Amino acid sequence: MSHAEISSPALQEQFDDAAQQKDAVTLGMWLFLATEILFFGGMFMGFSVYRQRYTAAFAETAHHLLMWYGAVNTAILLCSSFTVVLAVHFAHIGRNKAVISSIIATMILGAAFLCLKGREYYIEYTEHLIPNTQFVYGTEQKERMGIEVTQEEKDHPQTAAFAPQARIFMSFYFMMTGVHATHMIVGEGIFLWLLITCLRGKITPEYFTPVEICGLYWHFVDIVWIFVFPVLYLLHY
Amino acid sequence: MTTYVLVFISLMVLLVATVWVALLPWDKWHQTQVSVVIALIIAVIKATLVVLFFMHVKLAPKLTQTFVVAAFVWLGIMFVFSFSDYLTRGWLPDSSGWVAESTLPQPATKGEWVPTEHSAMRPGPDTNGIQPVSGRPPRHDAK
Repeated sequence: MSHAEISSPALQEQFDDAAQQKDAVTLGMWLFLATEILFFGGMFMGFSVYRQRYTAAFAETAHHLLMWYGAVNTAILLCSSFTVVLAVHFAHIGRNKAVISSIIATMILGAAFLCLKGREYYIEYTEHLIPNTQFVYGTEQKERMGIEVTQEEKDHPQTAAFAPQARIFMSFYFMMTGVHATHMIVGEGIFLWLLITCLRGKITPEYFTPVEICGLYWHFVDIVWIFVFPVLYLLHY
Repeated sequence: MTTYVLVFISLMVLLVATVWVALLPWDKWHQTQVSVVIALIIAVIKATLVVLFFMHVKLAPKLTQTFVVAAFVWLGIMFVFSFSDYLTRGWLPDSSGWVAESTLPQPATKGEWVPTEHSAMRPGPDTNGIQPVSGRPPRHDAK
């Protein structure tokens, strides 16, 4: 250990110094995020192709998603991204207690997002919008079958002829939000690990790369939602 | 710290803006495409703010920045190449499948080629110099 002044307990032997290790870890994380961008990109690609093919049907079906749930969830995720940034900032200046509070706040916001999402799925289940055997699209059909029709649906009636396309739309909706929600659940696990790491005093102003890397993952999941929200909920024309 | 607060406030303002824009009566103004474009532009701005400031790409080494840009360039390749196919399929009269059946010249009998107004652009049965092989010797199992 001739370079005592730049070595820290967290420095792995394959790196020259802490700065090189941090750059390498960040680069590796971005490489992973690049694969994630293309993974979600494929779903957005498929959705776009079908949307430009079935514009009217997709726009009408989008009306039956719960736009305000989506908007509140977007706000929750933006707040959680902010608390992640605070965690990184506090780790940088060595305020360990503030780091722990920020991580807990992030986890609570993430859990709130998942609860709202679950509630949303449940309402869509009661409205027969899940594309399984219970799927019914078309206000007239529902009335004939004795299914209760909400006031919102009476204002924006469903066209029965759009049922096959609406099924495609809802499949995209559940796939995209479902994969995103899975990433949120994984993120909660990652932050639980990060919280334990912080509580064990492993995070110092000299070495806070875990906070940064976990933060990158969280921000990425936030960015996916930034696109999911307008593309699925807001493009209802 | 100030930067983070400013970016966070901008993100929230943009969120309110995108919801507000979506609730405007675009269909009455016959400008529904505009609402789609505005919503996507706002989403791109929000994502850029998060990537540059929250994910610290603005201060990252050049190599990391290259990787970030590459990810989005490859995403762009996927979209541009795919849409150069899907969006142009109706441009030639030969397009079929993705184009609605009713917009295509319909043959009188399925599978049989008949001249249409687009005949000049359609390959005939004997084009490309390939002649159907006639007088082919019968196969052993054929009678």
